[in-house]
Amino acid sequence: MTPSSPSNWSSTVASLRTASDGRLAGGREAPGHFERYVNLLFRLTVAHKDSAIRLSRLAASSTVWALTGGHDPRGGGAIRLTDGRYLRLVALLELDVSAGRQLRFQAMTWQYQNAIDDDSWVFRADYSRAQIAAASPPRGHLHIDGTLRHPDVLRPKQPLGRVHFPCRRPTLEAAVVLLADEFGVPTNAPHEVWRAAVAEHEAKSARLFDA
Amino acid sequence: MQPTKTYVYTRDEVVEFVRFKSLEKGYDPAEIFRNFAAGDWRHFSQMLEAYAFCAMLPKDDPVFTE
Repeated sequence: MTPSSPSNWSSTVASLRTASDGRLAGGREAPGHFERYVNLLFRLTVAHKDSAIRLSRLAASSTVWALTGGHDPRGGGAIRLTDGRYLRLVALLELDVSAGRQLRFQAMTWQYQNAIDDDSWVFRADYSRAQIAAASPPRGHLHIDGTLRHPDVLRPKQPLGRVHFPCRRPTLEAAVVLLADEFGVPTNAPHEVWRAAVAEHEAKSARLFDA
Repeated sequence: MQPTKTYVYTRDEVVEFVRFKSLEKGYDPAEIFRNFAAGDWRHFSQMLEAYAFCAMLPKDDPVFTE
């Protein structure tokens, strides 16, 4: 059995399934299950072995949580990837008391970037359940930092990176697939292992977004 | 991936964290608190962690009107 054989990942896949079920079960344990789910998803796929995520909450309340890349609260929220680049991740989670304390994303952003700071980003997905600005972009949208071959299609002085490409539910599984399949970020588990896991859980993850 | 960590903050630590994140990005913390309370989450991606911490506070916390 080699380190990269599918059987070596069976316990991780089983733990991922347990965490996935737990995040969807709702209640006070759901955020912890979600944190573990994200950890295992990235462990299977594009995370560097030294990368980390953290969960934060107010002592007096257990209904609102922040999930962020990195262990350092004063850091930039970036998860180190296997290609040496970073995925900055911030998610605002809430237990929806009107829906049986189900876990929901209130807002999320994930951004692929060259450096640990965010000055050299490649693409970014933003999601907000509520309106996030007077201009009211789509709840879920993608930004791409680049240059068009025909820049005159945009308004004067409007960079491509400011365009909101609609994408209804920017799941973390979608981020992983985009990074691995389109940007060639190496994965830790074999293709058939992580692909099967993503296929099993991505549709379920849609429940965490707006209906 | 390293094992996950969970941090639990007091109200004052949350306020201090939002202030730190605001100043780090060059924004007035009072403006970030006011924007959050008004539902105007401008600089969304850059400031989402600060807004997430604002969301942990009660809606009537005095920091939103200072």
